[in-house]
Amino acid sequence: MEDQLLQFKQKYVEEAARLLEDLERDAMLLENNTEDIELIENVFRCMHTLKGTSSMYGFDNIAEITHHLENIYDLVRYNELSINSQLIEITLISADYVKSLLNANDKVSDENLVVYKKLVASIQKILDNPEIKKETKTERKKRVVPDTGFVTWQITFNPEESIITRRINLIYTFGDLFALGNYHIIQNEPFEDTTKFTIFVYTDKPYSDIEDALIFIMDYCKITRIANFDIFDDEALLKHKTSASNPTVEVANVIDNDVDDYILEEQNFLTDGDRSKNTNISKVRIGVEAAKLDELMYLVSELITSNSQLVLASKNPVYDPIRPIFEKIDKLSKLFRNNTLSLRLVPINEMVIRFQRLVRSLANQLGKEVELITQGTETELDKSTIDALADPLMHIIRNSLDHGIETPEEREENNKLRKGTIKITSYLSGNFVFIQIQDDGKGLDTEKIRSKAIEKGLISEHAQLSEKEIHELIFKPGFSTSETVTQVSGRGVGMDVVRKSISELRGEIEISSEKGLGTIFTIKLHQTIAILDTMLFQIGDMFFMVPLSDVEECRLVEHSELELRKNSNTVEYSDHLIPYVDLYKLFKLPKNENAKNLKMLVINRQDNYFAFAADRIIGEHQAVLKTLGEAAKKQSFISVASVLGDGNLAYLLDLTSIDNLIQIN
Amino acid sequence: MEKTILVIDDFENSLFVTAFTLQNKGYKVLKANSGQKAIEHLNGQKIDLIITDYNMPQMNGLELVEKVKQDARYNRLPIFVLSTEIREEIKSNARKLGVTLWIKKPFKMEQLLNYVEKTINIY
Repeated sequence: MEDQLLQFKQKYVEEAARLLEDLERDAMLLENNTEDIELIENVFRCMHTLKGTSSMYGFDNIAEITHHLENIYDLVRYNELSINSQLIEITLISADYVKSLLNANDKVSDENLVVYKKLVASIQKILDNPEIKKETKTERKKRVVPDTGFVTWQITFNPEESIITRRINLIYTFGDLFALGNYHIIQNEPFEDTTKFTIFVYTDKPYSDIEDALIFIMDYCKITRIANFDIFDDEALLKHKTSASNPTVEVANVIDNDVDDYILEEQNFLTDGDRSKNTNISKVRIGVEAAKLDELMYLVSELITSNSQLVLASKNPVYDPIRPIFEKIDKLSKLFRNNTLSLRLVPINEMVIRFQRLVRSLANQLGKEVELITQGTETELDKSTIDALADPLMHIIRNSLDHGIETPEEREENNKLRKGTIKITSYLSGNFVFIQIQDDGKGLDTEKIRSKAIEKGLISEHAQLSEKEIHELIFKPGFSTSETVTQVSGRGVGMDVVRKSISELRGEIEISSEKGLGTIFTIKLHQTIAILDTMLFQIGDMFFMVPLSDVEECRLVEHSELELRKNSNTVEYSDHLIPYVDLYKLFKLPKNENAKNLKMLVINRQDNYFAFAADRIIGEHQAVLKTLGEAAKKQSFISVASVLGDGNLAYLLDLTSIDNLIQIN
Repeated sequence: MEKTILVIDDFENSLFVTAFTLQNKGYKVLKANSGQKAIEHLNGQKIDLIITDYNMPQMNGLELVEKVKQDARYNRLPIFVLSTEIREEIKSNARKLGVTLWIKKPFKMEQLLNYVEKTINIY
């Protein structure tokens, strides 16, 4: 039994960690959307689930703190408490506290004890003094109106035969209901079904308690809220009869007439459906060891290579009868590949949410007002890339907060908005993923950088540098402009480390800044598609590929036509003239002078058209890309290649550099 | 007198936790990780309550209920179904089949124990 318990304990810890991530994310969203009922319910449910499962596995301290938070969010759900920054702060700190408890097997360290005591004090203050939320008349999802006092409820009970077949035990049901407060039972008219009756209960307990008492017979009951006072109390009735703000209730008729007449507010209470709407939609996730995925990736790439060989070999007419099978396998391999690749892809958004938290707390610490905006964060990157990016990005953001964005006062003096902005944008272009971090702070101070660089001996006093070159200096090792390395920016982690981390990912980082206006960091990364759909073609005895997604059209073009436009380096396409690149010249490959026609590929990259010719267009090829290494570094047109079925190498043409070539000419 | 509860869930973690909780309260618990295995337990031994998950492969909770109801020895048993499912058609189907209580997941263990006690009078 003990081993089993341990095994499940581990699973519980993983589940709890995931819940905490969701909780953090929702709490942050909640701060800017304080009325969002779904978010409130999500947070409540997180606490609730954590509380429930934690004591099962001996995490009593976690159970305790989540219990407190569950109470708070219960109040929020019932409108007795409103969300504010302090509450969110408490929620986030509690989440951290729970995280550390999870990792410490529920042991409270000395530091944590301090955190805990502060938390409990803050929570207690809130619970002792809830701010009553102002009544908002806006149409919300139907919710329970606050039971801030006693309410008369009407419960009509219509039993059916199914109660017996469902083996419902009624013994405790009404007992529990009656225990809630003053009750009156009213039997309907004699000629009505005598098994039906109505119960009025006057209680200050919440609706959920009534629901709980009646849980077994909920299908046979109708529960309605009648009045905010005891309708069987003559005095109270009188008071409400004369009060102008309340509609009169004629109690004399309550027992005799159909009570429906007296229903003040027929609330459609949160049905089972509403309340658990979200549990259904929660994504089911399974944690998988990254190593297992790597193994899978490797197998997939081997499969693709073999598949490519198979496809090539099957072109032999001998295999015509079984061609459909080859095609099916080809199709399945591609689907399999796409699926597997996507397993490791994670939207950048997940990482960026963490930054929200960072920006919030750092801004607070530094006495600055900053907002983090994001765009295009659905862009996906391989998980390992994202993990590796977290630190460099955080460093850039920290710098931005510390040195870039000015204090609110300074900003106002310079006619800027008090609140600074840090914007993280992400987009795809060609084979690259771009991530930009932009702030509207004071930008880089070229003079300061210059003098610091001279001081550190990085440049000579007399060096003439352009502004851009001076900006680049911050990437030099050992460079740091702050006199005091603040706790915020960290020690010893300079922009040089950031650049190194990014180049390790085969990426680049550039900086652009304007004094007084702000700074932009642009990170360019390869889309880690190690397997790419390409169009394979041949020039001379060399094979080349271009990404299939960039190919607009393949067509025949007469040699004479190309000769005609030789000097203008253009070619006619669809009533336009588009640039033409002579790959024969570029790669010094022999032209076949005898061929009357050449095969031309028309490329379209984000409405950027150009064309080039080849001797032979072989067809679609699923390429497993392998980098060529140092030898290819001397030029920019080719950096990766793929092995063809017959052992030849096919080179992937880097269309961005071809594009640049066109721009230059 | 000892009461016996048959618990069915294809997810081992949940099965274990539910069984463990019930056992701690003094109930005798029979476990099954599928509808098929559950039916194997219906071999004439005394069972006082069945608690089953709804979402299970091969035989879901309601299909199991149907089978149980066909067995003359066990068709008068109270049955709880645990599920995240909230669709009215399914719950109404459950009612028609004779399910005693449909419990939404996630649920508090104390609640489940409460319902169990109120159904089979452990005192």
